[in-house]
Amino acid sequence: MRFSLSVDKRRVGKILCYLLLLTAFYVLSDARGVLYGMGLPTVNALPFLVAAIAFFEGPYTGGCMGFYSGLLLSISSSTMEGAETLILALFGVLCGSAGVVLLRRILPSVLACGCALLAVRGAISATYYTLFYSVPFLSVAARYAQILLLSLLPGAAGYFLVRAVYRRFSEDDI
Amino acid sequence: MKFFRSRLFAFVLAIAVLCVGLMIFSAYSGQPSILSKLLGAAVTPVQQAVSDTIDGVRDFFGYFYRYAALEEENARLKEELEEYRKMEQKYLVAINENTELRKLTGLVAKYSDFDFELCQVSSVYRGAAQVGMVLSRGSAAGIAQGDAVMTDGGLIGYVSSVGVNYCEVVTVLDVSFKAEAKISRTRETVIAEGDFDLLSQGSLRLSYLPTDCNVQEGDLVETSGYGGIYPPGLILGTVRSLGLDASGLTRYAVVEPVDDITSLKWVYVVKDFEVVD
Repeated sequence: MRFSLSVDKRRVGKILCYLLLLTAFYVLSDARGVLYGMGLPTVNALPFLVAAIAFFEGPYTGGCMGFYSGLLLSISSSTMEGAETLILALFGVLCGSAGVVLLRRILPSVLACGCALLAVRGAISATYYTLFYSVPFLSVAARYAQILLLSLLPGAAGYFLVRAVYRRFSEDDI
Repeated sequence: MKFFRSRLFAFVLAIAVLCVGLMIFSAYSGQPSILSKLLGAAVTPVQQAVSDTIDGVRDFFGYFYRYAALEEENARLKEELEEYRKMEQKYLVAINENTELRKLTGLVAKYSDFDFELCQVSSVYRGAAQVGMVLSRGSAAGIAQGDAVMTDGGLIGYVSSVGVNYCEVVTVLDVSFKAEAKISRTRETVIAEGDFDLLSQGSLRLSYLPTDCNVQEGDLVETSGYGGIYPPGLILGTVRSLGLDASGLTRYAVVEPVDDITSLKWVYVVKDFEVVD
């Protein structure tokens, strides 16, 4: 009984660490002055973190973390609330499932999944701006590509941090 | 078929229903949901602190590597200040004269009441076609959706959604921004809007100008006040250049906003205003 209680506590601790990581990455990417002063767009490393968490923890935790990330992103973005959460939550579930049956839990898998999501999201947004604001599709797509490239480095850092949290708590489990 | 009876499918369905619920709520109310409000209320102060720390670090190190430039700037500013002092004397005379003339013509001040709320910029978001910011005050301070956001110089944007202690702002650079404006010199009515190509240059655009429109470089552009969203007379920016649209039927103008949005730390939200004349 005591053992299961401590396992639960560790699980809660691990989830809290993931939530803190996601929040920290969101705060740092949006905080005034990090990249904006250099004329660069806001990076979006959260999909990479969601993918990493989903790979390590499975589809349920991945889905929940995706949902939380979507809520975070909707604070500062004028995108309709719920759309971002739906995309990221489904992405978390997909990555979690892929981590179980298809892909290995390694950096290239996480980066590939994160890039795929950012590319799909960029294509959807580019289509929206092309249809409603007559902006050339390729121009928006190019800017999303820039965001994607800029997000790779913090995304990779996020993967290693998630892995460290996972290993730290897994070691305790043994 | 087996998947549709699984626990994972139920989980996905639950999340999808929740997200669609959030979408419907935000589409109908135009406000963030309680979940988003709670999260925003918790995260925005942290973001504010992080932004302030980053500013502090940047300013501290900037002092060393920009010392020569700062010294040069200081000398230039001293010269400018001297010039402004001389000009101020002339303006004071002009203001007194203007006040007397107003009394004579029976005009009163244009705005009898502007209810301002001073807010700190917590974060700035620049997406592919969006430029927004999050401010440190929200509905608790009386800020409402649609309120104009400005600086001493003029209009910056409008409040798009409000939480308890934060609010989101769509800036004049955002592709979705559109407002009716006037050229201060000629009083011609124009449409000011965010433009995708100009977003990266930090400028906005005056669209659909007739070819005979008397707009010149250096003209000030101000809000017209029609529609009652923005108070009239707020400066949107200065016309930097003019061009011909691809169709060749209309012209456009590139407008430089009153402030560099990247460097803003404080802004005012106009909670209420009353136009007398």
